[in-house]
Amino acid sequence: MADSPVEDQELLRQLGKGNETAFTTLYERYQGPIYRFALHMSGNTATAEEVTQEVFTLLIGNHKGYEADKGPLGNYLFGIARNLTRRVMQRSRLDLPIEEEWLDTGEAGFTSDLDVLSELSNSELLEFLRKAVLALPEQYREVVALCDLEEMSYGDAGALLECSPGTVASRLHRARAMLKTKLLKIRLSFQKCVK
Amino acid sequence: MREIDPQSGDLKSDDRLTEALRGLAVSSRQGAPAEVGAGLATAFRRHHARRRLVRRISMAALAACIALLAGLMSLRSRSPHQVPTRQIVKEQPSVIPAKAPQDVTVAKAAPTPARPVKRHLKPKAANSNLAAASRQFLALPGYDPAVPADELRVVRVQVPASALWQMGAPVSPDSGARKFMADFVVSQDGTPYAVRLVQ
Repeated sequence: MADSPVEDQELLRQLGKGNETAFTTLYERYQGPIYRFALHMSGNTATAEEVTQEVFTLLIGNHKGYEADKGPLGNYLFGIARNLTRRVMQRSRLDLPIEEEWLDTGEAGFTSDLDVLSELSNSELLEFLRKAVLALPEQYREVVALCDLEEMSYGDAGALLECSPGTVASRLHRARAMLKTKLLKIRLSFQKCVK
Repeated sequence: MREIDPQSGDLKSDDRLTEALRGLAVSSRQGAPAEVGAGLATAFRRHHARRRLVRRISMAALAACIALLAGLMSLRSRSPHQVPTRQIVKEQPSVIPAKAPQDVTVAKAAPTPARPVKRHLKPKAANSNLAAASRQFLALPGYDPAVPADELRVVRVQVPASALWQMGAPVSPDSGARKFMADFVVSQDGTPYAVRLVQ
């Protein structure tokens, strides 16, 4: 995702002058990651579209809002997307808070027994995983969406989330433990339904 | 559920989870629908068209302001030459009187020097003395504008202040018997038309 910041700045400068090609290049470069981030965070395509549209509309209207010395353009756009996604989710109550019991990752019986995943079909697994990610608390969902799904480095994610890379790693570790627990629960409820 | 070694199971499950997350990332390698991009491109064009329009309008307004300022400045730079011209024009009627009778008299008396002898001045001398004379002579009540200038003459005499005052000359009646040297513009029949104090 991260292209040369200098090139981004030049494209942004051209965008400010009204160069549509520069805008299209920046859009093509960043729309995918931003759309997916919003989608993973909200689980809703309409929200993801709305956020993507809003991010680039803001860029068109105020390209000078980006300050190069504060980080790459991608992080700036992700920051806007993050805030917008939060706002939209609060507005539409799409945020699905995780149940308290799921936050307790001390249930070793569940966490160590993830062989059950191999018994699921690929499509089932992806569907369960998607639901499990959506069920994570926001701060854990963010790191999974950025680091695991968008393959962002801990440093970049930390800069975006305004925390240290160590905090990102710690959150990610905890998020994965939660995901395992969640997957097992989903799978168990699925088995019950099948029977 | 099967019994497995917790540690190896944990590592295995981590790998599986990572693999599953990677699969999820790949499966969701999608971007925003094309309509979003098209809408944004339209918004971009509209935004910049509006910006260009605003810029043109503001440039035109700026140019108009500059032109207006330049016009005002050129008017100001011209005005210092015009004011004295107007002043001169305004002063001229007082030099060549058309309204005030005493000035008319002066114009007619202008050729006469301050001597008790009738003299005919050359036109050039008359012109040069006209202004000075007009400032000094005062028309008397007996002035008749119909009398031709060449029938007038100037006579210098010593006159008591009281007599001058009675004729309307600018002397104080308190001066009593004090005598003043004065030039009188008189007609051929001796009627005084104007007076000028010499002392």
